Amino acid sequence: MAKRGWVKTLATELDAWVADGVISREQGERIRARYGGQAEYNRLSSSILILGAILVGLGIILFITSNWQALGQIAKVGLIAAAIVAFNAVGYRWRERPGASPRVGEAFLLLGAIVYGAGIWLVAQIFQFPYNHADSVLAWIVGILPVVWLMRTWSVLVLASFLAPVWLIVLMADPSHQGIFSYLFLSNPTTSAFYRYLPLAALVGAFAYRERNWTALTMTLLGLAIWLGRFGWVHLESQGLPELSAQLQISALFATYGLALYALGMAHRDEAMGRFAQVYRILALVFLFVGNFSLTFAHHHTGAVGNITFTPVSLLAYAGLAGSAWGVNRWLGALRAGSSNEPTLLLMMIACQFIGMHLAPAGSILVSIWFNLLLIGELLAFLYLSYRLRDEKLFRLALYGFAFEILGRYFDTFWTLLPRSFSFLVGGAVLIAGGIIMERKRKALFHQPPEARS
Amino acid sequence: MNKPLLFGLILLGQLGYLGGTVGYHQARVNSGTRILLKTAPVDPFSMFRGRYVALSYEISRIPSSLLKDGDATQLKPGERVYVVLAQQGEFWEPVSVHVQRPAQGVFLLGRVRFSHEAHIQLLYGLESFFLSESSADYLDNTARRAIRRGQEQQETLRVEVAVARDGTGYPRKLFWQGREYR
Repeated sequence: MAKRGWVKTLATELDAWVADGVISREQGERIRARYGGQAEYNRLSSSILILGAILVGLGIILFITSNWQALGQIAKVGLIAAAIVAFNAVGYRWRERPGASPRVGEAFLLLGAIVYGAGIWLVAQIFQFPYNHADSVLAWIVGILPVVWLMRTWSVLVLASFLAPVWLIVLMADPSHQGIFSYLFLSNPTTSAFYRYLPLAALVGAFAYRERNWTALTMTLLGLAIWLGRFGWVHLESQGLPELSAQLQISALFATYGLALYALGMAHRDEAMGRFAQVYRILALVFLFVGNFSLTFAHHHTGAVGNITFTPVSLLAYAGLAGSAWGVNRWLGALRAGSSNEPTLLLMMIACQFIGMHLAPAGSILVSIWFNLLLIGELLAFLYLSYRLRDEKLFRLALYGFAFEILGRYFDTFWTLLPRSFSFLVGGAVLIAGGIIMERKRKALFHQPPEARS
Repeated sequence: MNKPLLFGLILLGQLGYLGGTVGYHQARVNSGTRILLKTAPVDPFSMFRGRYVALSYEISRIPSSLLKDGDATQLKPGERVYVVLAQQGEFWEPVSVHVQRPAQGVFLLGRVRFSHEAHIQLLYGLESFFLSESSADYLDNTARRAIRRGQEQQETLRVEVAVARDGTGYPRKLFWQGREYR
């Protein structure tokens, strides 16, 4: 059976073979149709099986939650235990038996993991025990990660990677919880609850690397972004900084995270890493945008002036910028698909973010001008880089970023000067026209033969 | 160690966690003191756990003057306090509130939701009582309407609670008009 990653590599190779005259264009299309179709079929059968597993899992959960009185407490718990053992045993057999279907096994292992998680809450319901959501989510993750380790199951890994940020959010919502697990980590859960996420994220991230699973990696990196937001909030809240200074620091934290992800992504361009490099690039752009966009609005802090203060947040941002610069230089030699301009652009972005962090004394107007120019420059840089790297998704995302930036400036500037209906009409027309031009440009860039681009 | 054995051990760990949870709490319930509390229902649904009545107890809101070893305005959300209870007729009612764990008596462990000069609002982990769909529907249609009509004095919803030695409360039985609902 053809794996999706292999089919993707084959498609790239086919383009090169056709371009080099090794095979004809017709032969290339026939090979592509043969393996492309098989990959689509595999993906469809996997999707149906996983969807079926999720539906059966939900059915079992709803059956128990209906609290059917004909079943006693012990019978209900027995049913849950039997379901966990049965689904895992069937999943194990289908995965391990020679000649069996690993996809079916995968679906049953996922079902076993779902029923185990549901069982944690259902047991508390059946016996009317007090429960703690954070402990329950953690017990779920801790219970299924060994299955990921032993069985190398991607679907259970993806489930665990979704649950890890959920656990962080639950902890943040109720940091004072006094559950069983709170005593296993740090003694003062009120102030340090969210630090517990880091070892868990490291573990899930390690499994994501072992399985080359880009969904699990994405969820882990998103979880870390939530963690960073919380870290910034906790440390800036207690500092009593002027609002402009605080916003500059929290924005710098996210923008730095974006740059660090891009630098890390440079180390993942080996084909064996699958989509990892693209995940890092896309999230890099997302967090650069998230970090800088809010500072492009001048009216948020009209006339405000801040000061330069060193906090744990700014220190982490400095460390991130320094680490990104080191990473760019470190992986410079390893670049194969990148252009020679790539490190220069990255180092310029790092330097501009560093300058931007210290503009609070210059006042809100200069801050907004700087961050508008910086954001536009970064988006242009990403458009250029995505073209050089032949990354269409990144290119499209940078275009969306541009549209958002234009929309933001448009309303920021004209909202009070023109009647609203008129501003919407003109703004909409400009965006549609701009979109059409950009789409034509994108097609022209990505659908020309490879040799025309070099 | 071979793979099937390791897989079996992982499953055993999962089942052990579920079984251990049941055993741990059930042992505390069995050795706990039974008390009866006045309460009032609302009507939520938990995706994982089904229908339940969310209960608001009379002891959920306590006058700050009952706090004996601290300042109510200094209590932080999430902080633990111990509510000492005494039986007044059929029901148990608060006598005093303590930051330090009392040496004796029946007391419930609560967590501060918010606190000010007049009152302390507390959570005890007793605020959800899970029921079958039919019981939940019936209580929703009768108890809540009766309470809305101001008949709660005659028709009080009551919950029997097992109180463990450390003050943790476990809701055991729910009564409405003298009948137990499950």
